[in-house]
Amino acid sequence: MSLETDEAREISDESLLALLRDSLVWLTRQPDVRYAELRYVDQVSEGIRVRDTEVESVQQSQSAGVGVRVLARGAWGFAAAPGASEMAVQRAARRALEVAHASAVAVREPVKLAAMVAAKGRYETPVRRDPFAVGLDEKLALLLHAAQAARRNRPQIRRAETRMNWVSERKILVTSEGTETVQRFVHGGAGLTVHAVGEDGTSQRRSLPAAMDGEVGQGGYERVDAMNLGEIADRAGEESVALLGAPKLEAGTRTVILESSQLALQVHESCGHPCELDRAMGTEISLAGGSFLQPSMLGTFQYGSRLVNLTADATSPGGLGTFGWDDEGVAAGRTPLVREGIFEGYLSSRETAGQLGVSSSGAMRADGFARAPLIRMVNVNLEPDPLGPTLEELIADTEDGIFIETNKSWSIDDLRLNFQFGCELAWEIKNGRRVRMLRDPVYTGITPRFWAGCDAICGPSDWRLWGITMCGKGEPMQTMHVGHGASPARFRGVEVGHG
Amino acid sequence: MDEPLAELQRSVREGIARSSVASCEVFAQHVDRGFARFSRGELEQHIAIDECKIMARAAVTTAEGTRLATVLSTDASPDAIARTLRQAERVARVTPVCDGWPGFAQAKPALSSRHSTIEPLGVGPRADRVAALLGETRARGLLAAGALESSVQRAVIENTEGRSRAGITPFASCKVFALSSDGVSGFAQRTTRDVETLDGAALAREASEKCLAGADPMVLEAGEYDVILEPSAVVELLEWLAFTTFGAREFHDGSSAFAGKLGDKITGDRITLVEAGDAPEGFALGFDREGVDREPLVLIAQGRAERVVYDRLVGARHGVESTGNSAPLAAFDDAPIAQALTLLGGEETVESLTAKVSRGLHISRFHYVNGFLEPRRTLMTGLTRDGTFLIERGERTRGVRNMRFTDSVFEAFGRCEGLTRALSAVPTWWSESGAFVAPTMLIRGLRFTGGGVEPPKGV
Repeated sequence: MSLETDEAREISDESLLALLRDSLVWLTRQPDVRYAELRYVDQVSEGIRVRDTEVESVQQSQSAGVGVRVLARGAWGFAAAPGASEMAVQRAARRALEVAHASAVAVREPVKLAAMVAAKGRYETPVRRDPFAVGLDEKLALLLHAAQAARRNRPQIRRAETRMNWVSERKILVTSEGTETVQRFVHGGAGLTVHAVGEDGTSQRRSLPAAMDGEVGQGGYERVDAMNLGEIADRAGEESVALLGAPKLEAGTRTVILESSQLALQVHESCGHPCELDRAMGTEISLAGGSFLQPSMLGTFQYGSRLVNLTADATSPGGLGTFGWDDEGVAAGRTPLVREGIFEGYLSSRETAGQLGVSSSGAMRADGFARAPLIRMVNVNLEPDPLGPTLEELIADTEDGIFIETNKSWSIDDLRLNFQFGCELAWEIKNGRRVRMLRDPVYTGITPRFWAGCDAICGPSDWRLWGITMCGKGEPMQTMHVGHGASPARFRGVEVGHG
Repeated sequence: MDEPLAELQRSVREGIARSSVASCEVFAQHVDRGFARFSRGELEQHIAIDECKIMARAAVTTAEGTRLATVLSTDASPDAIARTLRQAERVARVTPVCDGWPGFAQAKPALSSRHSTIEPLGVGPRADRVAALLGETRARGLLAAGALESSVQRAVIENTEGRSRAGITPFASCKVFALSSDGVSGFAQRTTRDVETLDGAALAREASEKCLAGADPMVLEAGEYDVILEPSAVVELLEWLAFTTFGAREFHDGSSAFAGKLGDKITGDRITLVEAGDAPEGFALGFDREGVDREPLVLIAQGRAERVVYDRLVGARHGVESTGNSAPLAAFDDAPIAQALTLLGGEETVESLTAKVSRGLHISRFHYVNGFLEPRRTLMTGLTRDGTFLIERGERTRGVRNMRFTDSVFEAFGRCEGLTRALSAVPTWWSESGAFVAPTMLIRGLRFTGGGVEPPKGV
């Protein structure tokens, strides 16, 4: 019988390390085991959703267990078991070995792992105010107040949803190459979405500070304390109602300025995913697809204009993709993906990097204990232009254009070339000024052509690090939290409309 | 009863008893999941996982009303369940009153399950089957990618009102992508309850034939094209309709395309869509996580909007019985959602539909459809993938580079001019071991807003 989850969380790091080491020793004594890793993960999370004046749900969840990955007879095997008992760990280890042995019949190429230095150490999210020590009443009061602020004197608003999510996770990794790491993460944040319906039945929504989970990142409740959720809600309410009467963005080729959170998603879909080396090598074809960025293009392919610098950075403070070591024990680092517009590097694992003869970028991450690690984004950031303008200066510098804010829909092909994004709101810019609001903005493009049209990126003062918590990949499906930093940027010759 | 299911039920009952929580409910789900992913012509990821999810809900009633909270965990031992329930009760005490809460479902005799236990494939046979299908594609000079899953889900719901349900859903699915060295791919998939009926080698041959037929794909311009949509493509559109249109929450807040239109004609006469409950060709459990039995519901009858789906709370707030559609544990949102859609078929075959197209496209599946553009209009966008062919004078003639469509799905279904009699089950991405069922369909004039794109040199 496995230990209860909350009991497991009470077990000391040292006891868990000892437990994992015991099974690791057993695995490494098996004659054909070349590599083994055991990863214990426990997690507690809390999600609160408020709808108008009601609490729609208060949900807590907890999980604990062990995932074991083994390389034997040239094949990988993975197995997982809930709990933190000796029996659970041993069972997962034996099953992982059984899976690896069985898999050898369908493997042709021996796995080559890129070399690494064994890691030892601890990482912990800096937290000033523990979100799990903040009372539920305080959180609910904030969310209820914000929902009411959004609806105030606005009968067109049918639904005002506010939400807050927090996660606390402990991850302990031991490997047959001597790695032993202990990491503790805390992340979360808050956001809201307001839905308005007009007399003619048209529907508009406004999500702030960003779509999906709102503003989320690594850290404690101080993140929410720094937000003025009531003021944000009032703006969302006002803009959702204004959108009901706004004209639709007409189709055409326009100059577009993307707001920072939308640009973060643009980076995610059209840079982050195609730079995943497993996609480029074809091992994610069965779900997510491949990549137009092939290894033969490294160092030569013109991905974007000279202004475009994209970096995979697992060290960005407060990022959802920030850690001490990835799930293979590779230390967090910074990897240029695109430098001055040229495609330079990949997000990689030890296995995929080994096939290119380079070091792993340290991007292997698993969703909880029961999933095998995959190449996932860390924080994939669009670097600000050190001498770039502020957003207002950029708008003032734009004679005729569209400023587009906040994602509503996203779609991109399996090679990450042909994308289309729908957003919540746009402003038409004429002679350097916002002149009118437009609804249902949609823009579309082909990734390298779009980034080649980037002729201005705002400076560091407008750079913000956003979080995405629901990046899906792998089978069975894994959802991962990743970070993206971006300043607003301007793109020439963008096709808009088509909605 | 199947012994592991009986053990799970005993554990839940003991957990409730040990918790001493006066009003509570536990939904427990255990999945014995075996999954083999292959790519580049070899087995790359092979996993065996025992997954357990517990959803514990507790209600605390005072003079002001009832307060409710939910705690999830991964431990199904009785003591852990008891502890999780007590935690839910503690959280419930500090939450505001839940207006309209109807209480947990009352005791009621269970509908008997029609599904017998089918054990999943073991680790060795799973690898052997993958090796066999890899050989089929290799023999044709192609590389295979894809996945073979063989799993069994066991689920139990028990509450302090005496509601009790237990069920099993075996699930097996295989999908194969055959890939040529010049980047062309072909796709085939099958999903079934009985893994013994799953012929991976046959799927490999089907995918290979598509891949070879699509060699040297041409680029087509954007525009309107008649399309033959295979079931995998149809189901991706149905998934998004389930997400944006058929749920009671979206219906009542006005964001659904059904809002204010029940009884109205909203799409074509040929479209009849059923939430099939415990239908043999579907894959849903016969009950939802609140213990409400699922019975077939007609959501669209010959193009007319008929009804939406409810859970107990949203139903109570609107004076409607739950339809057994509370959100599954894997859902992103705690709102009622359709989970077992079946689009009824017609009288056609794929060949007879193709014969009706003078110039159009045959589409095997879509990629990355998104239905949030304008949900009121069911406006969606997405791309074709893994087998897109030009049809000329009633015959498939050659491969076509992937294209982007952007169109209203209800308007497009309004231009449906035929459905096959044959139906196929296709897995969905939010239902645990779930699948939707659809025929192949012919749609006139689907709007493509993006033509084909040649990848940069090097791909």
